[in-house]
Amino acid sequence: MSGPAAAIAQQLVVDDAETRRLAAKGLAGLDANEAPGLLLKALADTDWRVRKEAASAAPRVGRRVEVVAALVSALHERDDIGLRNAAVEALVAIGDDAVEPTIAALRALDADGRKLGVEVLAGVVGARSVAALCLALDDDDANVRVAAAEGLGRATDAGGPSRDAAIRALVTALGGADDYVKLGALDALNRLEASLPWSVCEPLASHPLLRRHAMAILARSGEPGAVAALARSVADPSATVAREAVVALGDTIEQKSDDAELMGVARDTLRPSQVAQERVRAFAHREDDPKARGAALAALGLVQDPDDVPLLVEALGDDEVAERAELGLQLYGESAVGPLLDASRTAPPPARSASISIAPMLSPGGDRDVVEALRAALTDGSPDVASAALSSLGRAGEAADLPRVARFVKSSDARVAHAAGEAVVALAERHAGPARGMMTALDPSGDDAIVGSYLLRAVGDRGRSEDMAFLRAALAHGDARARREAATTLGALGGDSAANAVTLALTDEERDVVLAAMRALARMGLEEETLAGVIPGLLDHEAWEVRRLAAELLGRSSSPEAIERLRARLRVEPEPMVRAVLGAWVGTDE
Amino acid sequence: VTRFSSLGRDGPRLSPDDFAALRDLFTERLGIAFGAESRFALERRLRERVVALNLGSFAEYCDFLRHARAADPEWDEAVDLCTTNETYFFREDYQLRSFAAEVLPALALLSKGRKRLSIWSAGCSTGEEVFTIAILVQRSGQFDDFDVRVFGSDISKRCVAAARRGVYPPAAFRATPPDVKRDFFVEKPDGFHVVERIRAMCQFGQMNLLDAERVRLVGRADAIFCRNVLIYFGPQARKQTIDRFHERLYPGGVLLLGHSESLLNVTTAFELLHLKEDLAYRKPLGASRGSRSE
Repeated sequence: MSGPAAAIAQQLVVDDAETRRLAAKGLAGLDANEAPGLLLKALADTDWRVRKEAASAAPRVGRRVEVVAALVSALHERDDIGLRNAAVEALVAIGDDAVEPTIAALRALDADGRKLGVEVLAGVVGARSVAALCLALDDDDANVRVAAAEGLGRATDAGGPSRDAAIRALVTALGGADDYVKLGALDALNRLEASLPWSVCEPLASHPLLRRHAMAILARSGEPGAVAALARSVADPSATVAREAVVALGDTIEQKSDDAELMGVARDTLRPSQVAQERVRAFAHREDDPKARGAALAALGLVQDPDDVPLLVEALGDDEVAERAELGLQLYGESAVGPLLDASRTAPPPARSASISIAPMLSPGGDRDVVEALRAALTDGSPDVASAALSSLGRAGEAADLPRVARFVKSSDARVAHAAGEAVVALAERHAGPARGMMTALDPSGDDAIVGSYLLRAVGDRGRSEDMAFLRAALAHGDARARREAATTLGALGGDSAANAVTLALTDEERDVVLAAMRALARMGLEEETLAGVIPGLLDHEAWEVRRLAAELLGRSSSPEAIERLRARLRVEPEPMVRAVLGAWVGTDE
Repeated sequence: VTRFSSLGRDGPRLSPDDFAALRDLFTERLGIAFGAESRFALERRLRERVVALNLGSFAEYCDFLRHARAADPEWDEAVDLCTTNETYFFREDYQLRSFAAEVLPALALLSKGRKRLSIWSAGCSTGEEVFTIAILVQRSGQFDDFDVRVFGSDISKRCVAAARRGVYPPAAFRATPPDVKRDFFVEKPDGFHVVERIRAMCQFGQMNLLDAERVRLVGRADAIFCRNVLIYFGPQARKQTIDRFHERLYPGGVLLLGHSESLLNVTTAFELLHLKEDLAYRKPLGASRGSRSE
């Protein structure tokens, strides 16, 4: 026996478990005839920590073929359960090299051994192991079949063809007589996110043992029969089944809300059932179960009882379920508008802003009450609500709202100011004539410069000298926000004159103006040569945000000169955020 | 005790050694070369900064400017305090008359192909020179269908901010013809506002003329005004700056300096342009963008 092997053999028999564990750890890298035997000895240790250490050392033990053979032979072990389980763990750790010997051994192993072999194959996912697992679904022993079904749930990792093969085999297994195999197959199909036709799912939906597990499969079916079965199952006497049905129904609504046929089927099934409706409402109150609550809130949109709207509105203020509540309200359509408008005045701020955002979507015709409510919300004390009102007015407002929202572009709250600017652009795009009319009265050197820049983003024309004159004057404005917006709009309009003016804005002392000018130049799609002429000058700018964007823009050119500039900057750049970008472009991890 | 040893009854004192150190720092960073006579003026102007930063002496202030992470904004403060910003519209009018009568027609010919006129006022202080140039360009009537850009740069943020405001007190108009004041300014309670059509021709930015990369952002220029700036620079900074102007000018472009400034002993890359009332410098038409000769 070699020196190291002898030492390990000696240490594996001492009384002290920690010494034995360290000896097992020492098996890694041991390349001696005795290695397989010593590994098995360690795997059979009475102390689980020693066994664990040996299993993790197995992939690094030499004599791989002999080691695998020894481990596979351990699957025959009947008495030492610890050794058997540790051998499975070691074979899984070894990986691909363990697959073929394990498959070959399956024929000779008893049922317990085959189950362990199947567990090895389930742990080493690949085309060969998936194929073997599919065959194992027909094993004589039920435990082997269940283990094979469960193992196939990981077939996605083996690639598309293996996944498809696994799904086919599992669907076949669903037609068998063994409920436990079917249960395993259902779980596996859920993990594989398989979509099955309703004809396959139908028997499962009414099966007393399987129906709970079948709900998620039904949701993925996307067929009317499956959706109807889901909606019916909401009223199932079993609370567990009902919960799974509600969750699955919520998923269906989220994925298929624009499928009128499916939503109609769900609605027509839910509405006549008082039990189902009460169930949905009960789950919609379950704050301890946000998954079911969110699903139930979406399902309330199918029930469409006006009395439920306040519950949905209230839920808009809860981040965990707000999206599902919004979905539910959208399913209500215009009938939810009235309660939403009430909520926009009286609910807490998060629900107020959500209500103000959703109401116009449910009233595409431009309900006057909605627009009036949006206007009223502009003066809401909450910046979130005011921002939401501005955004909604941008979408739903009239030409007369242009000056109304324009007043907010200089708000001290950045969210409100930004939302106002976007609203001005949106309104001007739809009402170009009034926007042009408004432009004529604006002074680019006064308070109007920002509004004018936003208006011109929608209606500006680089061929109109007055548009360019306005923006260029705004670029010399005393307020940095006006200069920033002018640079952004010039970037949107493009052209040589704009490019020249925006390039000069790179000398601005305000970071935000320089950043806007850089983005504008990039948006104008200036030639690489032009960018290479101006951007390097910003690599040592005092603001790291500017340096980072400069590195990003320069790096995109990928020219050798640019990369060399970035490399030089990387040597002296102190800011980690900038170093990360520089490092990415020059190909180092610095 | 040591910390305040250089504090006199009126605050910290600028010793000759500290003055030399401070002077060298200004020269290195800004190109400005202070003469020995500037010592007490610097002491008077920068004393408030030493106190504001809670420093014990000018020596510590030098260290701060040289090494501190927050030195960039402090340089802005120092520049504002140490540079002279006093100017007015139509200053050195004899030069501006020559510019309007002789240089602008030549530039109109030179740039008619690209239909773009670009003029840079380097060291524009509070903007009077920039607006003066823009007024002259517009009154000339030769650039009505041009894309005209008059760019003013200054190292002082405060000056650039004032230039952008474009609002001036009566004293700024001491040399302005009445009809110009009437046509191009609007009187409001806070001062005389530059009219919109002139403002739209002008743009401002902050720039250290010694920062080669930043200077490249200006692009190519048909004319550069740099009046009464180079007199504050040391020889090396003066040469670097002139070289950059040469690089930025189009061939045939014109450099206009202050009445007491010349390129004598600085460079021969420019040719002299003999105007009726003044001298200017022109980049030879055959010169390539970066070519310079001594």
